[in-house]
Amino acid sequence: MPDTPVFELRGAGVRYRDGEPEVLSDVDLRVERGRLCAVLGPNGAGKTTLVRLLTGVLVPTRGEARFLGRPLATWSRAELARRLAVVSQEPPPAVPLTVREYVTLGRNPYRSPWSSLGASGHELVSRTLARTGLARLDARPVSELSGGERQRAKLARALAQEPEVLVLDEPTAHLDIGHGLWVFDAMRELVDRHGLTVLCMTHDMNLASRHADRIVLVADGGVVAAGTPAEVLRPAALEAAYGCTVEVSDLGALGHVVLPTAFAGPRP
Amino acid sequence: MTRPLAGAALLAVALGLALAAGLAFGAAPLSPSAVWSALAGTGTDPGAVTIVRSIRLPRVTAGALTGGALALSGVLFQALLRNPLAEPYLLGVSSGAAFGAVAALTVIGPALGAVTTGAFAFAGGLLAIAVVFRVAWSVGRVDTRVLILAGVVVSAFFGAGVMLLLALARGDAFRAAVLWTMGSLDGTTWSGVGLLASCTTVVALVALALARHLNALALGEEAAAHLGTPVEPVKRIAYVVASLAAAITVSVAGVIGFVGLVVPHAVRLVWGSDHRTLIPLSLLAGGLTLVVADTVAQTAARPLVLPIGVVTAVLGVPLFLVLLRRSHA
Repeated sequence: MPDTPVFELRGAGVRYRDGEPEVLSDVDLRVERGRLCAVLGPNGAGKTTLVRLLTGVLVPTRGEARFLGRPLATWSRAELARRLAVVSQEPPPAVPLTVREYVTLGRNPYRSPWSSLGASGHELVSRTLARTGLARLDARPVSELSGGERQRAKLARALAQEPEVLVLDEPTAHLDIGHGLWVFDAMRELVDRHGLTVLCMTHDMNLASRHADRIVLVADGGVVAAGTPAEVLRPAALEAAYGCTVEVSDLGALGHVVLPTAFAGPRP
Repeated sequence: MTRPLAGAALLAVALGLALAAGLAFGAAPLSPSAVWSALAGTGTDPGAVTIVRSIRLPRVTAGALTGGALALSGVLFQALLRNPLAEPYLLGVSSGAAFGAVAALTVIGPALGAVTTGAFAFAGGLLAIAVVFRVAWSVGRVDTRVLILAGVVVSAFFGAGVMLLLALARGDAFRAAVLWTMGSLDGTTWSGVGLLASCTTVVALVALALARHLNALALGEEAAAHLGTPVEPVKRIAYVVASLAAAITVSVAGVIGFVGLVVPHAVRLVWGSDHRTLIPLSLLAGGLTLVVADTVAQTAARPLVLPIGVVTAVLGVPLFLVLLRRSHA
C-alpha cells in the first residue's frame, strides 16, 4: 500500500499519570513515506512526548497511534526495532563501551540469545562506522567522544538497525553550525539516496526550512500548523507558538531565516 | 583464541586447581595420599573417607556454585539498576533472610537443624523481595529508582529486627545467630548442593538468554526499548531470578559479602562489559573466589575456622584495587 502513512495519529491524547492533564491532546498527524519531516515547537510543547507516542514508548490514553498502518500496541519491540530507529536524548552509557560496541548494539533486534554477530554483522557495523566518519574512532570509549562525535555514534547505532524510518529528538542540540549542518545533510541523504523516512524534532528553524520537506509546528500540547516550510514559517503562527515577534526572510533555495525580535507578551 | 575464550580457559583451569586444593586442605589435616585414595574409593581410613566424600566434596562443590550464583546475581542487579554499587544483597534479600534465620535460632533455639534454619532464611528473603517489588511496581512497570530506595529501607528494617532479636537472645543462641550471619559452608549436605546446582543453572541460563538485553539496558530503558528490548518483562525476570539466587544462596551458606559486588567488576575490568562474555566469566570467577576463600578460611588459623565473608574481602579487596588502579593507569 504505497499511500499508507508511516506515522498516523488520530485524535491522540496522552498523559503521564492518571488524573493529570494531558501533555498532548487531540493530535492529528500524518507522516508520509520518503519524506524528511521536521517538528518545531517551544520547550515543553510536547515534542519529546510526541517521539514517545510515535515510537510506542507511551500508549495514547485517547485516540489512535499507528505505524505503517498498524496500531503501535500490536508491534513487538523487536519487530519495531527492525523498521524504526530512534536517536534520542539519552544519558551516557552506564558502563564503559567502545564506539564499535556501542554501534554493534544496533544489531540487537536481529540477534537471537545464542547467535553471534557473524561476519556479515561485523561488516555492516564497519561500513556504518565508515559511513558516519567514525572508522578511526572505533576503539575509543564513547565517554571520550566530543558532542559532535557522540551524535554521529548515536546515528551510526540507529543506522546499524537498517531501519526504514528514523526518528531523531533534537539531534543538533549543543552542536555548532558546522556539525548541525552535517546532521541535516546526513538526514537529507538518507531520504534522497536510501529511501528512508525521517522525522526530526528540532529547534533549528533555519536548517529545517532548507532541508525538510514538511514542517509540523507543535505548541501547547497540540499540532498548530503543518505543511511545507513556506506554509508553516509565517510570523503569525510562530509568534502565537513562541510568544515572541519574529522576522522571517525567504532566501529562496537556501530556505528561510527566522530571527526573533521581541517578546510579544510576558516572558516565559 | 579470542581474549574472552582465553579468559574462560584460564578461569576454568584455576577453578579446577582451587577445587583440588579445597579437597586436599581443610580443617582436619589429611595427607594428599589419604585424600586421593578416599576419592578413588580405595581409602582404608573410614574417618578420612567420610571427611573427603561427605564433608569436603559437597563443601567445595557448594562453594563453587554459591560463588557463581552470587556473581551472576550481582551482574543482573548491576545491569538492571544501572548502578555499579548494586549487589545481590542491596535490595534487602540478605537482611530478610538473616531475620528469618536469626528468628529461628533465637526464638526456637540453636538446636535447630541447618535445613530448618535455611527454610526460615529463605522465607525471610522471599518476604523482603515481595515487599520491595510490590512497592516499586505501579501501573504495569517497575521503577528502578524506587526499587533501590525501597530495597535499602526494607534492608534497614530487617537489619533492625535482627539486632532486636540479638539483643534479646541468650548466650548460645546469640553466638549461633551471629556466626550464621557471617556466612559459612560448614555442614553443607548433598541436598544443599542439589538445590544450589539447580539455582545456579537457572540463573546462568536466564542471564545468558537476557545478555543482549542487559547490554542494551546500559543505555537507559528508553534506548533499550528502541533497540528491541521488551524492557518491563526483562526487568521483572532479571529481578526475580537474581533475588531468588540471592535468597537461595543465603539460606544455604549465610550472608557472604563481596563476591556479588566485586567479581563482576573485576571481570569487566579485565575482559570488558559485553554480557555475553561477562556472564560465563563471572560464573567461573565467582566460583573460584569462593572456593579459594573457603579453603583459606579453614586452614589459615587452624583449628579456628574464619568467617568466609571476612576472607573474601581481605583477599579480594587488594586484588581488586590493583585491577582498578591498572585500568586507570
